[in-house]
Amino acid sequence: MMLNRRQLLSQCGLGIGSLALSDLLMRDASATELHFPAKAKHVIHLFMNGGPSHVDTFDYKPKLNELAGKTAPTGNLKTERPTGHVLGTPFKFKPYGQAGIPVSELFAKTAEHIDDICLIHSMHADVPNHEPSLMLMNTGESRLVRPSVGSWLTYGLGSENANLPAFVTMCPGGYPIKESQNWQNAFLPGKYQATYVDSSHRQVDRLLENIESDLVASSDQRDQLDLLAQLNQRHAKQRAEDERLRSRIESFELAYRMQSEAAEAFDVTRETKAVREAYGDSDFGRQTLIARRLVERGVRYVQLYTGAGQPWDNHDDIEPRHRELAQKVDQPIAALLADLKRTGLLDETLVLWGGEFGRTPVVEMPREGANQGKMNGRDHNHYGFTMWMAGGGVRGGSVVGATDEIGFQAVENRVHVHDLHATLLRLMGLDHKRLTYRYAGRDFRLTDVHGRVVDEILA
Amino acid sequence: MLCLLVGLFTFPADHCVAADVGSAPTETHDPSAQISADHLEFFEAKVRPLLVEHCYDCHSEEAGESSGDLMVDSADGLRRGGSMGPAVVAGKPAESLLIRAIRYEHSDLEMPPTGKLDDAAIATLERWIELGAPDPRRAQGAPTESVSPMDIDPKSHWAFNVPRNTSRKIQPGADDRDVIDSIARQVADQAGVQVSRRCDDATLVRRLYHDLTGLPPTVDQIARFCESDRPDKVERLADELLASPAFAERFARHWMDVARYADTIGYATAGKERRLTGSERYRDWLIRAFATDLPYDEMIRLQLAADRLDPENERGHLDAMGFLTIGRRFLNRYDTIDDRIDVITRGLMGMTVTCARCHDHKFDPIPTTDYYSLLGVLESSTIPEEGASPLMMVDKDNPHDSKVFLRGQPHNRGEVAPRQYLTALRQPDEPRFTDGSGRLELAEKVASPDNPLTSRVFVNRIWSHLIGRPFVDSTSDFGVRTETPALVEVLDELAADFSTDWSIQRLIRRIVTSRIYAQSDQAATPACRTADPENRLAARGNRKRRDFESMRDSMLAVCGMLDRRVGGDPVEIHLNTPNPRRTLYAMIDRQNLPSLFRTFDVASPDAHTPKRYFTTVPQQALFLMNHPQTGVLVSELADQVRAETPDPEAQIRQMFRRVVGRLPDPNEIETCRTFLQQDALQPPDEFDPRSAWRYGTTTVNEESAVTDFQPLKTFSGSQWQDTDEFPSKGELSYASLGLENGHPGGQHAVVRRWIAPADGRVTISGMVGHRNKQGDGVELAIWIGGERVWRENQKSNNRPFSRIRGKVAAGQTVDFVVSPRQTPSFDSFFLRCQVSLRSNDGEYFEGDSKRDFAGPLNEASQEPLDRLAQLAQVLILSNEFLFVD
Repeated sequence: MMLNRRQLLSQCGLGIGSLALSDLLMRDASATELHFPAKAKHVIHLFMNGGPSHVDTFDYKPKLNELAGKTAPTGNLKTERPTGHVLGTPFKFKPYGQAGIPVSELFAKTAEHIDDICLIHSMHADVPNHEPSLMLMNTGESRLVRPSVGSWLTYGLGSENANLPAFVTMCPGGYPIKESQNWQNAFLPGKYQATYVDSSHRQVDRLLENIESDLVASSDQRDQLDLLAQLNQRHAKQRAEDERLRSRIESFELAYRMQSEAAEAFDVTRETKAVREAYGDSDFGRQTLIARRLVERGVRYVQLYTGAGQPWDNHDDIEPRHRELAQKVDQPIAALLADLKRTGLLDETLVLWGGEFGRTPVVEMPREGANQGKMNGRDHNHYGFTMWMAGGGVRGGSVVGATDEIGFQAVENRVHVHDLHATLLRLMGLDHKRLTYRYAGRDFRLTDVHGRVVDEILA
Repeated sequence: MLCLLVGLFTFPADHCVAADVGSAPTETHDPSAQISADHLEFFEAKVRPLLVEHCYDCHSEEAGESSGDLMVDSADGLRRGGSMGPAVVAGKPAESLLIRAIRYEHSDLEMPPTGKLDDAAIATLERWIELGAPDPRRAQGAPTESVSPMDIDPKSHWAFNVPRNTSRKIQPGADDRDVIDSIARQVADQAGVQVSRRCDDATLVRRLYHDLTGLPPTVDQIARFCESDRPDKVERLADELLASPAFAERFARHWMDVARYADTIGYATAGKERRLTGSERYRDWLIRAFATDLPYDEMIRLQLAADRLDPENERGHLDAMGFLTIGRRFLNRYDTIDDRIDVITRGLMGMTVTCARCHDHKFDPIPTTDYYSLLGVLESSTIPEEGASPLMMVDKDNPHDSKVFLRGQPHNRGEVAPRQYLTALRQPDEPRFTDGSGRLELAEKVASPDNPLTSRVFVNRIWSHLIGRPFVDSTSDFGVRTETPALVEVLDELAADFSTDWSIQRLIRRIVTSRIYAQSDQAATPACRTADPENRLAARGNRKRRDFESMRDSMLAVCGMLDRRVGGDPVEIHLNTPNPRRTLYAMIDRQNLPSLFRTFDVASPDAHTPKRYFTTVPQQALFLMNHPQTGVLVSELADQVRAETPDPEAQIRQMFRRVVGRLPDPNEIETCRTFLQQDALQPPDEFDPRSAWRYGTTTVNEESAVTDFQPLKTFSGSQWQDTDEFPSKGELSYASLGLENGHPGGQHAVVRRWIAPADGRVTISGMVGHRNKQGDGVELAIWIGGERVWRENQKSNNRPFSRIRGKVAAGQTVDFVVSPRQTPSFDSFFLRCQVSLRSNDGEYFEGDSKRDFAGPLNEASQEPLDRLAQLAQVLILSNEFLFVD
């Protein structure tokens, strides 16, 4: 039986041969066999770290304001901190799109694209704490060290552009909490970890490490690489064919090209003024525009965080803070969707929006050391929250699942984070049960022993 | 497939194995072997297509579906059947559920569900079962029989039997130097593969230096070896290298991969210290252990139970317990224990015991109780608040057994798992552990010469480091799915011999003085390479690529900058200024491992690493081409060569001698001459962000202003400080600034100063933190020019600051001033700052205290490379430098 490349890879485990093969894979992803026809080739994950309130953004609950100040009819589920009565939403909702799906004023610009968006109202996770929930969302495992979604995808699919990193994470001004664990490769080879970019920078040599040489002029570097190629050819000729020697020779040419290509990809000044203005000249705007430039060039997975730490974690003053945050991200997200749609890239790009969890429909009680005296915020809520997908293979203008009458808990067609992952892999053409990696005596999966593909999300 | 049992020799029965010489997976038992050609054709032509078309969608590995637990895509799957019982009874269609189902005889079992098959198809399947259901299909990865792994007789697996020396006589080949040479030669012969000739001396001496020290030999060292005609010159060189500190450093680093070494505990919430106190003491203990040839069994006992063997640390062995305690500290303590069970069982014995945390092992005879037996041992051990070593563990006062956590859930307890050794390796009547936690008893069990795995697993690792590929590919999994390796007899011979005295140096010496070790990496004939492409038979040498440590150390060495001091505090090696220490002294922050380490496939510090990956990615090339560190190194080398001779041709010769240890041929000289004749062009003159920063102190004052800026005078390689001695004897004492950390000194605040390169507006953001529960914290003040724009105290907490804005003129300063408060102790702080300047011309200048952090910037680090330095860089980039034949 002839083995295809993927079978070989999985059967060799980590044999010497397999790494050379996975190198090939990085160069030539289109030749790999998928489990299913892929609906999407790229992912842009808009990570609203800290946990945005679903009942103030996309999950409209008319009962919320009716019951404001009263005891929650569902009872208060246990979350991280003590909570009290129902807290109404200060934000106005109105219907958008053909289906008249209600969205709050916070995301009024994004809502213009509702016909391309599938809202998943019935998301749920495991615990009401940031660290494990970030890990669950990013790696499918709350506590142990496991590869991130982007690492799995680049391991499974490789890159379409060898001159750019396949998996890029951007966060302006520093790391989200749990830091680089959010995009870790864990037991997969190091090249599957994301390249982290601090998008508060504007200069390309600040955005990407070692992308420019201050040591030699570009033409001198060309001379150097030509001389190097000569020496390396002589060396290789004296030896039997060795794939490792050959790929290292190639890697210098790749690197040389990467310098100009990556510099160009990260340089938003090459966009027209109109485009730049559509995204806005903010950190989030710039990184969103860079994300579009990256997927346009074949980058597999781009993850964008709202900001360092946990910006959406508004235990108090939720109204002004959510307003400020939404103002920062709404316009760039809308611009991204419009731009992808205009260029046709939306058909093959999956856009994923959400936090690590949502927030309670009930108010958080004041407590010493936090929100002193204030009763105007919401606690973490992993029982029910909203995420949305748009683009490649997603049923636009639709709503999947539902929370209870005030949005405390997912009750209809519940979608666990594992299910989200299974669905995401499916859209990328991969079966979450078959994308495995042999490590420490076991075949590991992104979804471990869980996960179901949520058919209602698929177009 | 081959059988090694040949009439001439007596051969222990358990050594009769199949040598796997191809790259395709081979099987020890092939079901197709017993099927006649007719039957096979019938199956392939008639039966398989039916099964694929009508059944695979719901009952196959490929579809990932096993409805009713039934798989019909293998002979075993059909025979074993699903939840209703066997699907096929060979020779008996009437008793076969498969036939009942496709006949639609019972409404509760009608298959396929989409509609009844036509009569011809049913007849075909009936006929097939009458024939005995001949079926060549093997299950992929699934056990071939439905025997529970718990019922597997451990003695039936090769690796669970104690290894023995070769007892048979083998006619040695002419240049065999050891019985392992003769065994390997014979195995190769049997496979029709001819062993390669010996490599030349120049190759061998490079190989020895690389494998034993991680460094390249100098031209003189190469010449000395090649010119010697002593018959024992290999032995003499091996002894010389084994006695060098560089050997101990190299093998300590190999073991640090096994031990998931790092200098930080992993994630900790804001305000908590992450540095793993005393981590470097474990690394230095390892260096001492390898240098003094501490027997491996003793190393194991000390790493698991030094608290019982050297309780007062009189012999300095308590630090060995870093093996257990240096792992990631998870927020959940059972995850921390899991990591420790993993490093003991996979790291020392090649047993994947942590698979049994939630259920019995899927493949190996490791019941869940085994996991909780070990969990009981570790849960009965603790790290004392104040011990003679920060890395030590001791037994708790009340050691206790753990109950099994059903499905791994701590709140769901099952039967008690007595603290005892692993089932598969335990005698039936063996007593449980009774001495304290049981850690010492466990250590004795692991380190026993009767342990079938410990010596094999270790020898396999050492062999892999020296020969370039292991006997057993899954170096930390010797479970029942691990096939007998082709050279099992060599492995067992070495392992049995090793376990007589556990001398690591003797083992290494034995291997490197063998014929196998000295083989050329060229196959004897092209057919030999084709016959054994992966070189499982070790009939030729393996070309090795330098790992990150060896590459970086070799760069430092050939550029004459390597600092050979042994041991000490970890150092930052990814700064803009190269640190001259060997790479094993690098600070390993497991939470945020610098991308440099990942790019070059350094062992992940998250868990025990069985073996390194060796990937080739352009980011590696970019580092070597563009990083300021490389620039400093090659400039230094060029300066040295220039100082030796002004003649370009002599310089070229010298450069080749230094970097690749040989003289260039006339062609190379010519090519390089042409290269040197050009003048270096000036790269575009860009703002060098490193040059905008200053690191200094000022006297503490009420306003937290910079009244008397004094630059810190000394760069230690990792931080700016007052004198070489730290803390300094002067009044600046602990005053220091590092990559992201710092400390005020006595009555002196420390200042990170950024000098604006243009007129414009700055935006400042960053984070300040104080991570000690003790003391009263520190104060950060930020100044833009003469205006204080931010001031805040920090104690045991982190605080981000962002979007602080102000106007500056070119040459004006932005100062980050960290002052002590009332008390000057416990004032270590964390500080990261970013300054973004938009000049009045619309140009951006960006400062980042972490990215830009550097030691003193001399001319070499700021001037563009001249052509000679460029040539040096080319040679360092070459494959000849990176690969060792």
